[in-house]
Amino acid sequence: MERSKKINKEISEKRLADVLVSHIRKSNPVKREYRHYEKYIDLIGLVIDSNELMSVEVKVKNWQKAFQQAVVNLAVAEKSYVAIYSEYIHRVDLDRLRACGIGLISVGSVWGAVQFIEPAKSSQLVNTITNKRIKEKLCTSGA
Amino acid sequence: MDINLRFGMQRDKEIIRDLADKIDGLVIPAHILAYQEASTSVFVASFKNMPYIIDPMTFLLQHSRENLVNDSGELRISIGKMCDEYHSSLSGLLSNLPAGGSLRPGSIPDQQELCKNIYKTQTESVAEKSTTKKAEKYIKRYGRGALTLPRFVVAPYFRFDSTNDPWYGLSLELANIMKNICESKAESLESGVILYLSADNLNDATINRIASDYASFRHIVVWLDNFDEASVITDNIVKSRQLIKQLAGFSDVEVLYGGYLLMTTTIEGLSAISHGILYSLHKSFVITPGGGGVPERYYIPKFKAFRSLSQTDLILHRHTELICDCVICQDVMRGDPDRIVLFADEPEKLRQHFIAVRRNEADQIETTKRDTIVDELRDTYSIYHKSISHLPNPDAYKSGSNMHGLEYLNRWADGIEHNIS
Repeated sequence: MERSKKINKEISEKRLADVLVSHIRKSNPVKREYRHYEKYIDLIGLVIDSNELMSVEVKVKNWQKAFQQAVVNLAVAEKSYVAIYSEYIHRVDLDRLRACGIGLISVGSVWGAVQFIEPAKSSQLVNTITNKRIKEKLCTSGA
Repeated sequence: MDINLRFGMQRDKEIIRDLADKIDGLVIPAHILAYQEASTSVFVASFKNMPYIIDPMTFLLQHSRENLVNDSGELRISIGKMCDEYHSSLSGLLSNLPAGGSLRPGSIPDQQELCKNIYKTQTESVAEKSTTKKAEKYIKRYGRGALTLPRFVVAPYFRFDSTNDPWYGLSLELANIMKNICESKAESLESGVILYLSADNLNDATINRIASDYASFRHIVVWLDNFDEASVITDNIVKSRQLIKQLAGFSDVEVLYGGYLLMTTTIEGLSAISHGILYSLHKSFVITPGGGGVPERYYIPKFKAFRSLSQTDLILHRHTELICDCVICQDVMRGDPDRIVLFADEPEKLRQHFIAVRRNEADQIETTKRDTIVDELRDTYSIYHKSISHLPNPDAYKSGSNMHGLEYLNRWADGIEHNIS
């Protein structure tokens, strides 16, 4: 039991992103590692129902770093999320995320283990040119 | 106040050409002139009366072997070529340094010969190298202008910690030799010096000694090592002002590498500032490995500082009044913060914007009173600091979700309003 838990905690960021993408891609076009100015957004998707972009910064446990990047993403997507490995989700300071309107997703190591913990609020800082460009790319590439 | 642009990369040349009407002169690093000899010399010669100086870059000789060689352990080509112009034994001396070793003041060869060759490099190489066969293709690109001599000849110089540092003594000796050479030549060029020191090491005695030792020099360029204006402490601002004020009492004083803060020392008598385009507002003796391309940044005039484009995007959406009204920004931004993304499509406009703003700052600061500068800095801090310090800024991370904001503006204000003798 101890051993299996230890192995679980050594999960990679890539694996978490794989699990998350496979979940979101079921109904929405998604791109990984999307270039935004000097940084890359881990994951960006178009929520077809609302025609809104959702960005996600994925980290195994360093939620503060993911949070900072997620704040930058407020200029890109209507909904900005942080995704953290389910084993470390309890470490996240939800109040801090809420204060900025950032949402939280818990991701496990197995396919389908995705849980939206806190919904993101609509960003008031979206750059409409960037946002429109990304939406067009996601639609045309059929990602 | 004059603005001299220092170029480092090949692409800088095209940008400087476009901005020529906004700047007052050029600073050409000698190792770049030695390495890209044809393109650099034709470029310099192509302007009609663009004043320039050649930085002899001799402080590179103080670096340890690891910073001077390439991956295969050979002396970097640019440094090797420069050394070969300066003295026949220099390349060999550097190549034979042991691991971790560096030259000592006593191992700098034949000072007279060194100065003669550096004089020759600075007064003849642009003319010689701009007329070679290799230069022809660059003449087609840049055109042929009116060849001029440098504003003054810069003596070899080294970084020193104190006036007791042997490198200080050697720099002074070389400066005097170069002065004598200049006075003996028909070109009648004046000599100048670069004082390369850290503001951390300044005190009254050091400032007095430097002023006394260099009292006969009419051109003094001050390079404050790693003078990062975003983090400099008030005490160092005060000491830097004292140094510049004292030197300006008898000499034309310029600053090598500097931003708005050092520009404010025009009140103390500073006449010019040099820096690169979007980079080199401060420079350290310590070489940081790695690097790569310079990230694109936007100069926010009100903050007197650069911010990453991603942060600027957020800042301008939160504070639309910060959208710049320079000619470039009027065209690109049209008052709409969303249009900041268009700078990422045309990054050369970031440079045009910065130089347009810098020109404006340089012109305005000459007639702005000390109190006005201080009030503006404090006002900007009080209006924007709280908001900015909660926006992500990878360059200014403090803790948690807190970033360094505009604290530096208050430190500047403290340093500028402090009375100096």
